[in-house]
Amino acid sequence: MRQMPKICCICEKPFEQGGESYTLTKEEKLTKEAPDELHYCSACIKIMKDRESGAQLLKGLYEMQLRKNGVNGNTARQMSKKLYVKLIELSKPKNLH
Amino acid sequence: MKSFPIVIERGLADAKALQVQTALEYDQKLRQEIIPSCAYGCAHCCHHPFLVTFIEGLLIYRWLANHGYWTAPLRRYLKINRDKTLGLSFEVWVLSNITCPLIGGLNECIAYETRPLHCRVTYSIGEPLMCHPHELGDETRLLPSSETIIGYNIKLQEISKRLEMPTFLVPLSEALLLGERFETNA
Repeated sequence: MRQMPKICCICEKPFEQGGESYTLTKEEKLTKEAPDELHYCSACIKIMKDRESGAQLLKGLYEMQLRKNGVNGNTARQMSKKLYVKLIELSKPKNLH
Repeated sequence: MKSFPIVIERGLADAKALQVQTALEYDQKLRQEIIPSCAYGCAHCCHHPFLVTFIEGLLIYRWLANHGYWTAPLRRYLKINRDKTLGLSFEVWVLSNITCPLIGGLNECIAYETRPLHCRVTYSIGEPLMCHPHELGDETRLLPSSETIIGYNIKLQEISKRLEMPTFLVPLSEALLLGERFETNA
């Protein structure tokens, strides 16, 4: 039987093969609306697994969301930069378990 | 540098002439209307996603090889860049702030003389800071003339068809690696 295509949580494109899926833990599932599983297509998971590009992508998405929600440009820039620095710090090999 | 059969060499010369002519015409038209605000050392647009034809990649590869820039570290870097960008959506690409693989130290393009047409026709006409991939929005005043680029790519694809070369568009890193493979196997 043919499998239903999964939707990538980053680019929102459907995919059937490749990619990776992650089941969220109770701690990770902060809201009721959050899905049980997150799917990443093969192109997006490559970006997410790269320390620099992954952090840049999350910084960009965060900054975009802040602006969309009415936060002014400078504040959005500073807040997302803080997130980027934190992500780079957390992804240092010594901090990964 | 390896020489191809005369038909292919002529086709490549046509492609190069087309690139230079298109960029020159665009530049002449543009300079009458606006003053670019691009600053030296600013490389924000070198993080923007774009695709090139195989033939444009082959031309740049030949120039790099001819000028001693085609080195093992560059090849390695191109492969890393290709793995990241091939098949990636433009939205994710731009937000991931991926640097062009040809950007060297001090934000200088190592292939500036032979850079793709896309780079030749991209100018900032506002605040250059707003060209940063994470700042792109209503306040960005950037001139990548899509009409010029699309028209150019169509003409390049016609030349490619004539030479029985691939006509698809790929990220620059993939086009350069394909160019190397083509020249090695020719």
